[in-house]
Amino acid sequence: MDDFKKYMQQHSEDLDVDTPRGKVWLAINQELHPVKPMATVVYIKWAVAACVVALAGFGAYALLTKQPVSNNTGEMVKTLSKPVKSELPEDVTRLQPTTTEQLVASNKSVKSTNSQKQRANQPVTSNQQPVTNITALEQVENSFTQVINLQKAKVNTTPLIAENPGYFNDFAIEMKRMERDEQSIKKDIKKNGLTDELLDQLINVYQQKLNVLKQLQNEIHKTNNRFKQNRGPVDSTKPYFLNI
Amino acid sequence: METANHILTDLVKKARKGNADAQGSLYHQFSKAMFNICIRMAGNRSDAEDILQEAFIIAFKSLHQLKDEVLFGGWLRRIVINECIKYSKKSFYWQDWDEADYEHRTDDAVEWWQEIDMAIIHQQIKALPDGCRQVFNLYVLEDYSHKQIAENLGISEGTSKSQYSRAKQLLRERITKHIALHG
Repeated sequence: MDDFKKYMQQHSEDLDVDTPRGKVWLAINQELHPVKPMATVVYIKWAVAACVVALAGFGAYALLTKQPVSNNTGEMVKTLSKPVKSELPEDVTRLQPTTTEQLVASNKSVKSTNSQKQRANQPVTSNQQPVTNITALEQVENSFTQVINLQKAKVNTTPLIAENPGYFNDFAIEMKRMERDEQSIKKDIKKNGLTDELLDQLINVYQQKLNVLKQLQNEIHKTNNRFKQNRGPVDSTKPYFLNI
Repeated sequence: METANHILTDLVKKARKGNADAQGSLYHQFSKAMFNICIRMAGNRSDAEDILQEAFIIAFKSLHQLKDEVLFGGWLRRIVINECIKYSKKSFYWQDWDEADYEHRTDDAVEWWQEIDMAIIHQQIKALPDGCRQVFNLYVLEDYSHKQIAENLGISEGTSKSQYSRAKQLLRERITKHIALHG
């Protein structure tokens, strides 16, 4: 081995003066762990928040659609004795007790007749039902929209120091897709009225929106943090912002 | 040393299972040394970063092939050098060089390299022409023999020797000039 080679090998560590840019690790990580915006990752905190809002919505819906029920058995019997059969669908009339004796036989049966009474009353108050449904729908919509807007504001005010907005395009596309889904469900509700199925679909879309926004926020924080770790101080004069 | 090996083993095991944090730690631990190999071989930052990126992706995807986790550094280094050689083979053509002349072109009697800042040597290695730069790095810093260099780069052993001689001569001339100009 010549002396030059020997000298270079002895001091080889001193030759390592260059450092790779932070984007190299981002590219490696992106390749190894691609972002899946629609992955069903549950963010517990936000899932809990979404559940609370959903429960509040359901509660409001239940309260607004519930009719006042009298505890007076006699009155109840009287009401149920009315010839409502002709106004009810077949499956409801099948449940209808035929005699007062059957109704007052036990507390249990009285309780059950309360619900039956409710059903029996439905056709009578049918002119009020769409109004209460729409109110409930508005409440669910408002509750979710508030939380979603709050999350959107958080995302839109977080500076992007590591990546330009194009990097997060998948999230924006996903949000647009869900906006379209939401509009489509709302059209169906207008056309067919509010059914349990449509309400579930709508709530599901809102929850997905929240999940995507939370994932987006996490991704922004992750890229920003990596950039800060790799590159040291950040030039805060040129950050990008998203407009979701 | 044992603790360091234990930490490394743990990180490699986690990285093998796809743990992003462990992969990140390994990258931060080894990326600088590996990047400097790449940049000396490629001669420019952009290509060196591409090679480094490719090498780490290959390494993390092939971690199951590594039997002894403690040997991760050496194993990664071989992947990096292989990627550098692959890059060299497809990015330039070899120019003819007077193979017989190489022995007379260097003068090791004068140890001109002593007392020279290693950062300057690093800069000048990066600026060497294609061909002799790769041979120089493989022979001097990666300890390849001329025979191994010839096999890997698809050249003759004589060409490898002459390219090394040329690299050493160019380095001496350029560093001397640099010191004369900048002190």
